[in-house]
Amino acid sequence: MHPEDALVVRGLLARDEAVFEALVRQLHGKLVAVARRLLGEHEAAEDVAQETWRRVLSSIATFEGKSRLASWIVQIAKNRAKTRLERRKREILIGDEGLDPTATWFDGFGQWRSSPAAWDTPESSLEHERQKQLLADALLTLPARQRVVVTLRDVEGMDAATASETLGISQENQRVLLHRGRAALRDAVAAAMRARPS
Amino acid sequence: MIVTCRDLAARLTELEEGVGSAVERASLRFHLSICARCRRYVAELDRLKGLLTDLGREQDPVVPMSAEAAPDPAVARALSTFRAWKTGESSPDDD
Repeated sequence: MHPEDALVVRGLLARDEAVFEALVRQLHGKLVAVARRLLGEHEAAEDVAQETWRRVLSSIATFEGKSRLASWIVQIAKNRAKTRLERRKREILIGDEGLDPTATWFDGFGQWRSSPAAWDTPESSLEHERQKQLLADALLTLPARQRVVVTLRDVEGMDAATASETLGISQENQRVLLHRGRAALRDAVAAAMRARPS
Repeated sequence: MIVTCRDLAARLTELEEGVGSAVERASLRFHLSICARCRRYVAELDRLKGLLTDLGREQDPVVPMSAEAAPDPAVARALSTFRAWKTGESSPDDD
């Protein structure tokens, strides 16, 4: 077990509230963020984060340190968010497939109106982080079905069959949503990059 | 089978998942081999997918800029759970 994690685990097992509070302040926002990508609503994501803390406390004695403690806690939140998504997918995944953002990309002959501009590889890690933040924000603006499919497939690395099964949709529908979601993210990030002050 | 840039963009996920007939996939690949604009689009998407994968890094997931630091009411709620656990009054998990 990582020495820093061992200290925290020891503190929790000794029922040290300050140790627990520090952990909550460090990770709570991240737990809410990962749950919100799947569930959309802040309140539902907050509930998942609170359930996660309950589970962390009831299971901390079984933490073996095979991964870092933060990874273990985030994984608990992801699992709980997925469980809630499966239970409430009819409510969460309301709405249609969303517009096809690519409708305006092509001319009457089906050719690009303007050439895609392959994004520059960021020159600094700061720029790389900025692009990721842009994407994290843009993801939350997608229609629910697109957001969830992109999250399961591209953020969580779930395969197409499992994602379709989790959401109770056909694989073809899943592909349409993935295509539209990625296209919308591409437009959102490209627009944000164009708007950046030079 | 004539493939336009619009077709290619719409069917990239099929190509990625290996669905469709061999002829259809070969037609899409052929279009890619002769269309620099579509290759740039594929490069854009690859970069996008790489960034999305980075968002999910388990230990340090990226949070939106709009995300708040843990607000006090959320911390207070978690601490209340902690106190119940500490005194043995914690309710069982709702699994």
